[in-house]
Amino acid sequence: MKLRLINGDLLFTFVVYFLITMAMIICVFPFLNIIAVSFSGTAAVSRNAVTIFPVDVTLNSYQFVLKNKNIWRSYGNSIMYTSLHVAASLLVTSLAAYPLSKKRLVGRKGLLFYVTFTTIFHGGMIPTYMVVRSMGLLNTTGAIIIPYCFTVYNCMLLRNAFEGLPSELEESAKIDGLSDFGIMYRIYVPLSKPIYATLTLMLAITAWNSYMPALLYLNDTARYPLQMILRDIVINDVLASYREMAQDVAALPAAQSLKSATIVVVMLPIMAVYPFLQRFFVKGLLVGSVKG
Amino acid sequence: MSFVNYNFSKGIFGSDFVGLKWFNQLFASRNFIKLLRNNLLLSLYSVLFFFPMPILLALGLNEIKCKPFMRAAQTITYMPYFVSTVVVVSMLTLLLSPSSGIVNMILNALGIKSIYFMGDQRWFRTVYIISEIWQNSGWTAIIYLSAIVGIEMELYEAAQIDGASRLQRIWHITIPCILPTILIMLLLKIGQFMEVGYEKVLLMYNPQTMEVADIFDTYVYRQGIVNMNYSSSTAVGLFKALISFVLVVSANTLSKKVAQVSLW
Repeated sequence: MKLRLINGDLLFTFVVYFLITMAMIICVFPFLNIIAVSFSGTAAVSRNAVTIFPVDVTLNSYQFVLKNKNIWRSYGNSIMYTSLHVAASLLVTSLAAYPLSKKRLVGRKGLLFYVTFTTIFHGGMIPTYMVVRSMGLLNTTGAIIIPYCFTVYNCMLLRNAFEGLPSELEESAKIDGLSDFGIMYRIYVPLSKPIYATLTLMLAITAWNSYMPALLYLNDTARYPLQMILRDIVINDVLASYREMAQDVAALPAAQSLKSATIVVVMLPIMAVYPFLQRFFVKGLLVGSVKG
Repeated sequence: MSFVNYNFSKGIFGSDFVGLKWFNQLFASRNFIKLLRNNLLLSLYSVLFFFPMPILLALGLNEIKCKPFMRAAQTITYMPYFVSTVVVVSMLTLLLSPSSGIVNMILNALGIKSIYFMGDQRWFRTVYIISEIWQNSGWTAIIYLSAIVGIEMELYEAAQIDGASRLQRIWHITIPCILPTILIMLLLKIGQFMEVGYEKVLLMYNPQTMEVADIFDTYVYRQGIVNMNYSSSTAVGLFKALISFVLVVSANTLSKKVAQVSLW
């Protein structure tokens, strides 16, 4: 009897490990295949001989990707949009969250309702578009930043963090003669460093990964962020920028490799920082869910 | 805006008032049924097939006693979450390509003919849901895992003494203990029933799959931004927002009753 129990547990352990290993393989496999194809020679790719290890390793596709001016330009755009998005969001969110965390704010209930109401009912895509358009922001950097720099979720996250700090801090700072701005900037913000770190990372990832703002509000390719360029190259299959670069078509790597290399280049910044910053992300998710 | 015939130069109040014309037009059109069906089916499949996955993953991860392995498994399973929608759809187009994609290569090796996954109406929803599972299961599992970690160890010890097998311990202790979390997540999901990942659908669909892929948000985008029918598309958007509003409010009322938890 005892033996059977142990065997049952062993079998169970085995099954769990097997299933989790399968899940890990499923998660990694697409990445490995894309990376392998991006490093493989043309002949091997067209023979469909590449699985998760590169065949006839070559950097040919990467040479094309790195020489592509559109990619470099959009990399610059993406970095600019991401940093502006993070800076603007942190500023606006802090300025909204701080007063909302104070019980003595006049009309606090009404303001809170007003803020949260937008999460359950909002005008939608077209009215927002009309507002952006009538403010003359179409095709400007402002259109990518301003409509997106405030999210209720982040504001509530920060507000909860501020509310968690003891109010004696504020009183003693008042006595020492600090203004409201001073109290916020010198006391509350530094004390909330961990949540700011998490917010910064989450905002940066969202901004880097988004394509919708650019699709809606930009029509000048020179202003496109990286994600839009990737969309054109891989999903819409526009390889013109690569064809122009090759002296003759025969020198061009397989389309599959070129596209894979482009994907790898777009993912690279996030994949590079991800293992180190992972715990911050998890913290951010859990901070948010405590409230729910 | 959805009650007038909007003209950019005249503004909202200068444009002709048309009452409910756009709404009537919407309800009368064949498109409406199609959009509603596609929207509801994608959400329904997501609840049926996506929703249980993170729970199973969290239960599995929790049973792994070897810490380094568990940490590696977690790191790897959340990784897809940080990849952008554009990258995911790009990877889908490459991996599922009928001539050179790895998935079809494997199918061919098994003696099955290539399937044009991205261009076949019958496959659209499957591909969409599977890619959702691939991208978000690991991340969502964190919420369940943190709920599981909060369960008191004494419960398990007592069960072990009573001779419960590990499967029985999961079934009789872990699942009942995380049931409130599961319920809240389910209610949140139902509150967002109308919200389908339109950014992904917009990248995934093409003329061949339009019939099953088109949802309210993508329709609004095409009508409003591409074809510049501002008023009629705003009406569609408003209609969707109204349904969503009702759903969120009722889901919240329900969760207050069932689990004494409210969103606000």
